[in-house]
Amino acid sequence: MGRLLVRLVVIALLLGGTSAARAQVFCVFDILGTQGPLYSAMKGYALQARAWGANLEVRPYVDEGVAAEEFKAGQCDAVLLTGVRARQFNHTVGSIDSIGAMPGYPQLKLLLQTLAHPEAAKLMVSGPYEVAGIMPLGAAYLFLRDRHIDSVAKMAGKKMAVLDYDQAQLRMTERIGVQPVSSDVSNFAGKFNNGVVDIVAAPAVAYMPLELYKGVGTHGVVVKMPVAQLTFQLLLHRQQFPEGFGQHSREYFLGMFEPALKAVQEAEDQIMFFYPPPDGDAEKYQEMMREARISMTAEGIYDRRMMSIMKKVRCRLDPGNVECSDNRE
Amino acid sequence: MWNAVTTVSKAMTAINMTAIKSVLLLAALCGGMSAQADPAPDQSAALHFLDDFYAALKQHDASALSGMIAGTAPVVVLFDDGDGEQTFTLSKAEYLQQVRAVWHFASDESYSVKDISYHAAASAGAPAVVSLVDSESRTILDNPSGQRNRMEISLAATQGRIMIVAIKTHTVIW
Repeated sequence: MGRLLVRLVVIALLLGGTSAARAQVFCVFDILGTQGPLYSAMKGYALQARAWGANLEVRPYVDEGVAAEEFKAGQCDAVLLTGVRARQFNHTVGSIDSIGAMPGYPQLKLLLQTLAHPEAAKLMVSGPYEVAGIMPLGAAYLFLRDRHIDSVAKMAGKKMAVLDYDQAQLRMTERIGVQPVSSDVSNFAGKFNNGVVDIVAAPAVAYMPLELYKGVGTHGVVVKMPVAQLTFQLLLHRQQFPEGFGQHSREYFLGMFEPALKAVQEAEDQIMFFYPPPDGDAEKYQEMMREARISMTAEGIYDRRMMSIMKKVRCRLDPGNVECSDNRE
Repeated sequence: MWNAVTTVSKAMTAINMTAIKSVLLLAALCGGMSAQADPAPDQSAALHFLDDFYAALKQHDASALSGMIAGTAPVVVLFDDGDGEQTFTLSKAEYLQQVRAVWHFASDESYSVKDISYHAAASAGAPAVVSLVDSESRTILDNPSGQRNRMEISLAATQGRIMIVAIKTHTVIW
């Protein structure tokens, strides 16, 4: 009888202990909320994360700014944000989404493989935060309402939606003389489709859900030259997670690269009036973006270390590139 | 003496081996050439091919269309927007992507081809060229739209199969 009582007490204590263990709140930005593909994918991730010792409660956020603020305030233990928004928590990794730094998906894949390696783990940590996953959102392309704007020179004076929390976009609009119109992820498409702005930069995955084809119409164009590689990044409050969780998580995210890229490429396949720059212009624009990137790195907007890593990746895949013989990045 | 004979014999053997190698190499090259490049298609074959090409366009048959264009074929678009001209070079994949995207958004499509002209290959190994004017109209996002393409389609044949090896088009879109 006595033994039975002891067992019951032990079981009760164990059960009590289990129920008292707090689930980590995982705030997921998905513009489509609970119906969105990211929210759905992160529910699957949460199941996997149990094996690494975390009990994630996934919460959808349709407003990225709110998700970021709640993460900062400690109301979210983990958060999934776009790389541009995530830059404030880890300047190095948040600089992946810099202008023109990754010209294609092979370069991005090699970069993410490099960053998922355990030796790169120290780059993932910044103060109390840790980047626990990076996933491609697709290249950002320029969408224009009027295809007569067929050169950077003709963009001068036109209105362009810019994310007001991204210093880099503001600097770029200054450089090319475009009039910036402050926007966020939730309203840039409406401004473009209604003619409030002439130009937006967006990934292909926004094309159908946000109906960007309405803004492009039959007189616009989408320039098939990546101006940046956008990513989603998972950030943690490190102390809320077991040791080693971040590395497990980064490797899991690397495994999502190909399925995510497939979705991106399917979205790109749907874009109408999707043309490369006129012959001979692409090299000129690449150089223009490179100069902008170097200048913004000097200003501290982008991280010098990440710029150097990305240059190494570019030169690994294209050793003949002119930039590979200098050390400006 | 024996040394001299041996030397001559070795030299003769070397000459014979070189000659044999040269003949074999020539034979291999000639064989290779005949397997790769057929004469450019004649007028009848070229026009029949063109009919098939437009049938695939009208039927939205991406697979058939893809099979008619060589993997390395450049599609050079001289785009005339009424405000100047610009040239874009699309890969086969980019050209087909645009065709499929337009199919997705368009309704009430029509294609009209006129002024077809066949130009035989200028030299052995060169493609035949068919020039034409292609007028397309469609409704996109409830708006009437269309384009007029003055095209030069280069055709070559490989192992009896005709393929587009280049497209040049002067295009006006409205």
